[in-house]
Amino acid sequence: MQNFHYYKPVSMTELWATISEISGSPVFLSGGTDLFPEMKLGKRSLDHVVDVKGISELEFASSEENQAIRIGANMTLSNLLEKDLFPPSMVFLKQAISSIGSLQIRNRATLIGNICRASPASDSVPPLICLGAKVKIEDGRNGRYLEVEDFLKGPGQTQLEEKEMVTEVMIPNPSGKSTGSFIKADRVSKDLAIVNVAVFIKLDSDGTTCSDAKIVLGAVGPTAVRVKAGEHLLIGKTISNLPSDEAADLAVKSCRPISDVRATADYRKALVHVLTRRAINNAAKDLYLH
Amino acid sequence: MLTHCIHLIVNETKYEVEVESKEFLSDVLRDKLHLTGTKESCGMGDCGACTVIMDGVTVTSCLILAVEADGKEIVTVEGIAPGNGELHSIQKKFSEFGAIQCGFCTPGMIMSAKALLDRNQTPSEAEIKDAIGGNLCRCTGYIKIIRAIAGAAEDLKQQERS
Repeated sequence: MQNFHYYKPVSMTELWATISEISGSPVFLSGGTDLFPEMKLGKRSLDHVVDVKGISELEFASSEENQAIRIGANMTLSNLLEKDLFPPSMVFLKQAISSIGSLQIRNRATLIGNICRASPASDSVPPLICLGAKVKIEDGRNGRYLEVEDFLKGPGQTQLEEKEMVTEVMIPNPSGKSTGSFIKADRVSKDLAIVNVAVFIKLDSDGTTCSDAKIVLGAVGPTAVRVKAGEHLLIGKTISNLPSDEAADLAVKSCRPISDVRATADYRKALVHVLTRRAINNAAKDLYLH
Repeated sequence: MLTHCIHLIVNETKYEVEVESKEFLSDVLRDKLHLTGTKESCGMGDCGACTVIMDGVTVTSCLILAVEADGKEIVTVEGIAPGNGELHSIQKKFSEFGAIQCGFCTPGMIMSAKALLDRNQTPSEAEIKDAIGGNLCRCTGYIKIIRAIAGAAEDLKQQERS
């Protein structure tokens, strides 16, 4: 394996000064749990690796009362899970994060890294899309926010240009009574998803009708798949009688799975139906009973 | 920079090592510090054979550049025995319960067990399984490993009482 330049700036100012002096494409490193396997497999060649772990300004996870949750690039998944950060309506995101990798991986990996890896099977992405999460992209001069759904372009592809970095994930705190459900199907524990499904349902002010819904599927398309037709079907319906079966049919129609080492496309479609139906019913039950 | 002079604190001993950027911690531990207890199997962070404890948490050393570990406190399987020829309770129980067959997963398993028992003295079976979820064993079927860890927890609790 070829050697490379390694830098470790200790502030954002130093980071951008270092980046500007690099000719070529620098790679930003935090957890490295996807970067290094790719490098070892020869899928990426690295010339300049900029380790951002020394930048304390990137290590934050904050949530004010009813305000958005903001998570910095250096928050490991384990540290994130230890914080009492997620309100009840976001517990399904916490469950999804807990299902990423193994304990050893979560002790190094970061949420932003998981998003930027843009794996079609990412566990964090479907719940983040349900919640309307945004990434903050910086280049040393400007910063812009982009919805996660728009940030991801395809497998391993994002809207990041050369010398740009995601420094923050911002997750709006859902208002009103709402909840989500996340279900992941895998072969063994600590595995990549065969299929994962995240559903988010919001109740209207009288607490009987679904006022908003999101259905997002993972590992069944080049990026996470929004089942917009299924979402429209649920909106306006009574919470005690959501048409989860019909919505699940629409989910199957929306997905484009492939056959790979983990499962066949047909099996994935079957799973999409079951998991979508269950996730909708779980979320509805949660709202109905509380 | 392409090469770095780094300091690793491994099992409470300070080492000064010259490393290239591309060298991983697992290789430096084994080849430069001659601490060959840590094994490399998949090299991709999937199997857990290379698990060490760094700054108090378990990590797969095959995915950490040596230069990233500069200044960090690392514990490997060579560092957990109390000394005087005695083994750590976890090591004793692994041996007693027959939790070692080929032995290749063992150091990584023991480090995951150590990290668990350091933070949770009374783990349930589910918690033990979760703690070793990132460590694969092709030989034992895990049952004896789980029992050995539970046995070590009991042992450590009794030691604390006396």
